[in-house]
Amino acid sequence: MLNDDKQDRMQPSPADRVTGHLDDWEDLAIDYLDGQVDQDTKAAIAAHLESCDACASRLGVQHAVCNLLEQTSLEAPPTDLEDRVLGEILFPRQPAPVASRPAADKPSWWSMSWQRRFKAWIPATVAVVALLAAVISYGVVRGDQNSTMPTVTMTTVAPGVAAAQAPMTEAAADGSGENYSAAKAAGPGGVTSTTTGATTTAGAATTAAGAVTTTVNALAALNPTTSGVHTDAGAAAAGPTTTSPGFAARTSVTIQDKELMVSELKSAGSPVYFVFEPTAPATGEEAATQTTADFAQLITQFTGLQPLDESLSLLRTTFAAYVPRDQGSQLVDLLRSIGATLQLTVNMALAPVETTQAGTGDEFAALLRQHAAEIPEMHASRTPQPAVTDWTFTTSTLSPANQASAPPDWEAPDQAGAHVLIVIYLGA
Amino acid sequence: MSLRVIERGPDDEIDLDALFVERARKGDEQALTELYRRHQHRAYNLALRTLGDSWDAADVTQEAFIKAFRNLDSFKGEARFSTWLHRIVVNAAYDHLRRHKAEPMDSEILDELSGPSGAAAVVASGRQGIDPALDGLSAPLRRALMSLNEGFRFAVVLCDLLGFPYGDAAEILGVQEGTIKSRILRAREALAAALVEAGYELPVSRGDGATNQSGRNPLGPDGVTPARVIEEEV
Repeated sequence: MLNDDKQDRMQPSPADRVTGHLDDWEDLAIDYLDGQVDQDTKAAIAAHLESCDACASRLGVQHAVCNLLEQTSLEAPPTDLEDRVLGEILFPRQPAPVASRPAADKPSWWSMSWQRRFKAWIPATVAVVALLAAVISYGVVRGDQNSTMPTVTMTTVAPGVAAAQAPMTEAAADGSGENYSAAKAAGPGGVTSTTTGATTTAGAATTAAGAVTTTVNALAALNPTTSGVHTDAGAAAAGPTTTSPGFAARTSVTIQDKELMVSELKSAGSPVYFVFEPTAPATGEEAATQTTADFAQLITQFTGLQPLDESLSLLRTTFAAYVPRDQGSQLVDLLRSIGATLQLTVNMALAPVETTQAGTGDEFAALLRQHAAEIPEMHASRTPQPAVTDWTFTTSTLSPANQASAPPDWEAPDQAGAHVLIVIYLGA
Repeated sequence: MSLRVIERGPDDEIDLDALFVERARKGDEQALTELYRRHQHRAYNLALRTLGDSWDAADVTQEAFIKAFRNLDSFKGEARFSTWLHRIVVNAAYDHLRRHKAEPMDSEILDELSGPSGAAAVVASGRQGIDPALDGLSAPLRRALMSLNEGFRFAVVLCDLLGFPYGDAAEILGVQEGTIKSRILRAREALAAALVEAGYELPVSRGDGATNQSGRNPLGPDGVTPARVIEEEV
């Protein structure tokens, strides 16, 4: 007698199959747990469990794990995902970049992105909104808050290697698995040298061991005099990896999964926002503030970006940079790698909270324009790193678009739709 | 047939999905939005729990939805929309995993980062405790899940986490239902072992209480969005 329509009728009499142990009738065991077996089968299984502690215990485990899993709640998708999907479907992006019109004729990048909204303004529109809930875990940073912090987990390239850097990086990206093990076998005395502070973490340690990994110290590349950590840094800054040709070659190798994300940046000038919310576990307000300051400092160190004027700060500290459109994902990875090397967990599943009511975005955009001269143009690059915790990350590098570091005026980066503006602000 | 049944019944949801698909094909943006909202939670969590990274999951979910919506015409209605859609998600997730195989998991780093026990992992997750509403899965469980081989992981995520019936999961993964059940059984045992090793206590009892879980799909087509008023449209 079957008590369920969906009961598998292929088996003439499931109860007859209940011989031996669980492994011999595992499908029935699963159905038994779900109450989806007929009375005879149920009785047969119950009888076996009475006499077999091993199977009873195994079914108990099944039950427990099943319950545990079924009780877990689903995580909410990122709030911008709907717009990313529907925006792509309903407003397919132009197949080719829009020919550059005189900037004055063009609707402002802000209003262009605005027009694509069907909803009240939220701060990442069609581009990516990411709340990076970055949280410092068990005092890795806390133990060392003085001037050694700037040296956190940076790998620089030995002078003699700088010239060969770009091709090597491609090789690393191609077969990082093998290269990693080979490099690790070779030990840290390989072709790279590592700048390490007291806060060197696991991620950085592996980077150091990976002789083929060539991550340029962004800070050193930008401000060799202030880094004060490594003499090799100057040589690395002069090396070819910070130029975009070398980078372009790397992009085709390493950037695949983020292409979709980057493609979402196609709507001209749409800024990308990142919100960092550093908090420290079990610490007071003062410590949290300190954490925010630390984090701002680290962003500066890793990206070379300086905080914008306070009048532009949305919350506490705000950074902004123009990044070539197709390198947006590198910056994303750079930011993630900041979290990784500090053992921060970066959670991008949530959207910024009430920091942005309608109207705020326009005001912010206007403010940004006033400060356009302060916003540097950067190039981003990244090198793959092994997985840490449950996500893989890359170590990325930002470098000035031109060595003269002349800040572009507001129109220039976006004129050909070539750049995106990326804004990073630290949450409270 | 009541609307409530349409909303709740796993067997009836196809009607509503089919309705929206039909409209979406004719260019009804609202129907498209509706389809997205009905399935976004499960699709996203499928990617999230099989890839283990929220950023990658968002990418993969986006990719899958876009692919599905652009190819609505090729959805013939032979399968349920939900099955069809999630098969696309699974394929996108597998593709993603394949592309990223070159970057190996470094168990030493994992150990160092996560510490010896689940408690450290919870700290590492950035919160002092596990908040199911925020976290969904605790860090130890998440790691245990990621330690499963892919076949097991996809099966257990589909069935136990997302509540897909075994038959649907079999269809989504393109395997026999018996295979799914076998994988589920082994996946749960592997999860239990990994959790115990991480110092996590499972409330294990003797498996003699066969609970009746005839409604083992508690989520409906979309775990969160409440039923909408659709009377005038049906």
